[in-house]
Amino acid sequence: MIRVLLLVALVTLAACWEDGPSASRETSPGGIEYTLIDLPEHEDVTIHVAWPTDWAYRPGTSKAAPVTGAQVILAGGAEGHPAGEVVERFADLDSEGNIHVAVNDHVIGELTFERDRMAETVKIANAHLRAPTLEQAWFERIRHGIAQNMAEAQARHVHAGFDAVRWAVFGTQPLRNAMSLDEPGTFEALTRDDVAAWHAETFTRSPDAIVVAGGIDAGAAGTALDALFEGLPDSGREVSRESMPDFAPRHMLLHLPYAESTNLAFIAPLPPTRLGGELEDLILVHALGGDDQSVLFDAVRTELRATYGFGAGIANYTREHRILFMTGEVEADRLAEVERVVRAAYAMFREYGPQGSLADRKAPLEASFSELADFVVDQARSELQGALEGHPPGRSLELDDELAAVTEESVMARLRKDFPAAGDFIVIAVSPDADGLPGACVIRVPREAADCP
Amino acid sequence: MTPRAMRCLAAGGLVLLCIAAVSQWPWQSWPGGSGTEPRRASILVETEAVEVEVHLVFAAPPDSHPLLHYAEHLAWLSAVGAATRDADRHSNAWTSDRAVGYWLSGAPEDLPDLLETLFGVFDPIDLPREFAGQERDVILREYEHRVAGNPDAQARMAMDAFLYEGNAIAASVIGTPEEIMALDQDEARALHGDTHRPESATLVIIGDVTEREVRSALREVDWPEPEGGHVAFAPPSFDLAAHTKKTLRRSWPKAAPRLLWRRVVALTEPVQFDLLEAQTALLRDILDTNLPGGVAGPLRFDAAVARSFGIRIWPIDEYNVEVGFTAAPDQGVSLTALQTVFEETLAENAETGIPDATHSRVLDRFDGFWPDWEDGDETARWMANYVLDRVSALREPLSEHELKRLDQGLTLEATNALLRQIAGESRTAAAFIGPEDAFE
Repeated sequence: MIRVLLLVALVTLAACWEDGPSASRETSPGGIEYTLIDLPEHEDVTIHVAWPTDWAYRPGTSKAAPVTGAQVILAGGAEGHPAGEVVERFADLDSEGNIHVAVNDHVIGELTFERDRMAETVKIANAHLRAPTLEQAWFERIRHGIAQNMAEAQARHVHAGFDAVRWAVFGTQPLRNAMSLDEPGTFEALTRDDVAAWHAETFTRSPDAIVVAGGIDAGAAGTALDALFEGLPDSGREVSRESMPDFAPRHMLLHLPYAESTNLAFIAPLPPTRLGGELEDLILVHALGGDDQSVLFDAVRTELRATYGFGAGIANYTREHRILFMTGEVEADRLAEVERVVRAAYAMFREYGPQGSLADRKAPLEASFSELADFVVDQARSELQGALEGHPPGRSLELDDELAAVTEESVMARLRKDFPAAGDFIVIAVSPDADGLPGACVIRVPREAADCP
Repeated sequence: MTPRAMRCLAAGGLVLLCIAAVSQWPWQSWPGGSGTEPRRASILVETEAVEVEVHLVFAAPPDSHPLLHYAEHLAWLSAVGAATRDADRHSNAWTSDRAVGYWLSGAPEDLPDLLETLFGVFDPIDLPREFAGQERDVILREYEHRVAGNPDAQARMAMDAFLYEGNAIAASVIGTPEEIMALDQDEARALHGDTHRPESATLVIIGDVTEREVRSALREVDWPEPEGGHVAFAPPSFDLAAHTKKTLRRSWPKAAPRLLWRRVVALTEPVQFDLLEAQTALLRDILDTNLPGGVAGPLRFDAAVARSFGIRIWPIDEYNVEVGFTAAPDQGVSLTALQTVFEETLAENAETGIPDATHSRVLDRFDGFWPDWEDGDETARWMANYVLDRVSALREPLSEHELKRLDQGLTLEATNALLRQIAGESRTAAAFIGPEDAFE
């Protein structure tokens, strides 16, 4: 009897394996190339598209057009689909759509729906990509709202500090205003024609990468993609993404007399993820400033008692230009002391690396990767990023193997070779006290950071 | 919204395993409900999560804010935070308007050690006096992080004080800078000693562990079982103060103009808490639409009054409901005008009633409020969040069986009755945020 049960269990296991997640490179009947992540246990399907863009890099483009245009397309309705009606129909379908600009290099579109509601969902999405209404009233409404939100954000002292760093790194290059949206007239000068021009050059049949994930076979996925891309122009412009960031170390204080708190940040470049080392980075940054047991939290809160929280993270200006940052709000009177302590803690970390077991540090990532296939949207996002980095189809299904290959040696090599030295950071403090950071280049507005030595 | 997360259910054996894993484990079985009846002292929710979480929740005594927040900081540092942990262990603590909680997570096989560590929350606070005194400064930094320079947070605190006047939940959990600097560590230690007692704690364990493993771990660390396996605490009582209105004007010249609007109403008849939560969520979904009975048409699609808005409706308890509305006005629309249009729309919709077609259509979308009960893994995750939410609110969670029957109470009549009460007599607060010329 036991043998029979064992046999049943093995057969069941084999069946499950056979139907498990898989990845393949496919081409639709209409010639659209894509990666299919087949997740047979899901009833949901998600389509993710990355359209290339260099809008942010070019002089003469209206830098607020992408962020405004994405919202006008989503909210303002499309040919045959008035705004107030389509919002309810999409809710009936339980479908979701989103468009956003990712680190200035791509416009990402995401469409998620239940498999048996695919045809209508894709038809509506196609209309919004191909023939959005871009009504003047909706354009004005959204432009005005984003302008107000940006003005408020720029008045917040932490935001202003990071604006100052972008002035220091990119100066007057077009890319800077694409990120900060703070040049006078950025929103006032934006027209509906700017949005229409951005839309026309962006949404084509030639994205850099497409991923379809969920419970769907290649036949149905190809049909869906052909319907989604129907009527879009074959190709857009040849993109050219040139920028010359200057990450030379600087020591700056943005003096805001009415700031109610004091913030300190360190910023330095990291290599692009296309060169590898991404998982080592995640482990290192978490150990450096990811939680209450991290190096920075321990140094600035637990030991120095000068902050509520001081952490670290990674961000992207572009796919080529990533940054490591360490930041937190600190006690105003101890700003200079905190700067010394953070720098010393980082130097020690870079010398000796994360303490404790690497297996324990991998555990949260293992848990996350093991559950990735439960979430079609997250799986597709991960796969799309892999595709943009040139990985073969299925990278997102093999992250656990990549993690297993991470060793103490690879972590330390990454830290010592690719992480910045303690003296290589741009330091920016935002404080009501102009003398809080002795020797710093004191500025009154972010723009002045461009002139800090 | 339907969660975009469903696990491998291809093999029949796995389906059974998943469903079998969805069970709460009471030491003592108590019927669902609320009020003052005893609560289970320990609850296990079995999930397939890689990590196991151990939570401890205590009731906040009346008038204990913001001292309780200080005590929470000290207790966590003493028991968990100040010592070095393995990198696979995570922990934090929190204080709300009605409770205080601590959690620690780690590998399932480490459950005894996790319990033993968290047990330290019961022990007297063991921190050097200078270190404990400095934690007051850390809380001041927390205030700067969360509240200073944040007009919405400051408005919410002022609205809490007005809307909940005379009730325990009116007090700010973090307090003002002056109150923070006046916190006394001896008083915090005393409050901790009075409140953080095994017989006052609810233990929630969530993860891939069995009832047998939990029992074994509790025995191993000699975890004190309260008498009868239950604790006696209840959510704070709430009595709505006089019906009136108040408008707070907060001039922030650089802020994008916005309206924060909140209303508390006392119901004519009490409704079981979980059912009321579902009814309020459904009404919220209806009001959010551009369908007849919704407010999106008059505010956003048929007229340019609000360029964006959000609605929340939730029960404070079985007798009282709160509505929250936040909106950014369209160009040229004052915050006063925006508030007027919203209140008039609400009143008109209440008088007209939600049409059956709208109710049916939104109810069809409402299945995402609960999990797919056929999906064991999704249900287990949902139940874990639900149980923790209820315990953190000092309420007894319903069983899965009881939850499945709640949808029968989502009738058109109940929805319209709720809407009529929300549009009726109330205590209402509005906050105008932005440059002054946007107010009138």
